[in-house]
Amino acid sequence: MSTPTWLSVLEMAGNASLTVLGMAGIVPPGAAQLAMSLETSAQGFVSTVKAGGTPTDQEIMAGLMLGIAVLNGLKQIPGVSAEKVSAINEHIAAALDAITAYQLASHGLVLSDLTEVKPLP
Amino acid sequence: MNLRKLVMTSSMTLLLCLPLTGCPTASTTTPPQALAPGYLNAADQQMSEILHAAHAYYQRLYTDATATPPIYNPSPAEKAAFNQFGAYLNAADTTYKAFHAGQATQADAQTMVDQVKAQQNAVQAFPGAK
Repeated sequence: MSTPTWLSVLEMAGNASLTVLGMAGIVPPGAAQLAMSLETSAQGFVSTVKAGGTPTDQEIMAGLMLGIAVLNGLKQIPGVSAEKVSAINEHIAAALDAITAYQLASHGLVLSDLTEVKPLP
Repeated sequence: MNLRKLVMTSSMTLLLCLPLTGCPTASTTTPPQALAPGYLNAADQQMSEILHAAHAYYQRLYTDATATPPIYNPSPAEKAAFNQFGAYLNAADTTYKAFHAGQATQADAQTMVDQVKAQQNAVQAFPGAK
């Protein structure tokens, strides 16, 4: 079995997550600023990818995985409510679903999968 | 293998050598992607991948938010952003399908897909924003 091209992205995202966990434990007073800077990093990354023309699969996957890493870091910050952690976990699960769907789409086009979504009531 | 375990395990060896945002991408050494069946070009394939990923992301949150009892309780602001995300997603689907039918340009489709990506980023940013 060949090595997935996005494995290095998983490594980078996992590394980022571990770094975030360590930072959150060391500097809890700056947790809010840390959260903001992490979010800014993720948004900046996505913007960079968009500005660079046609991104590679690996770059897009990096964006998704960095998002997961950021979310994982955020929920470790002291003082984050259980409700907030639950919401973060939902977004992480949704991002993992997105990665799976992304990979499936990379194997061929299935237009019928793109069905209309409903708004939350 | 459990994905979280894979991520955590594989990253351990790189913990001390990779900065959070300073890691260079592999774009200079990554060979061009092979085009999968059904796609017109690389940009077309990436638009489809992004739309499919967005659908999965949306559907997961929607299903959990409408479960009884709800597994996911978005705030009013997050709910508004989420529904906007859905509206953009439906519009992008329509334009993307029109592009494949020769009734819209690739640029039109790309604009709509970029809008979906931006709104998905906004939705995902909500949990840590407050």
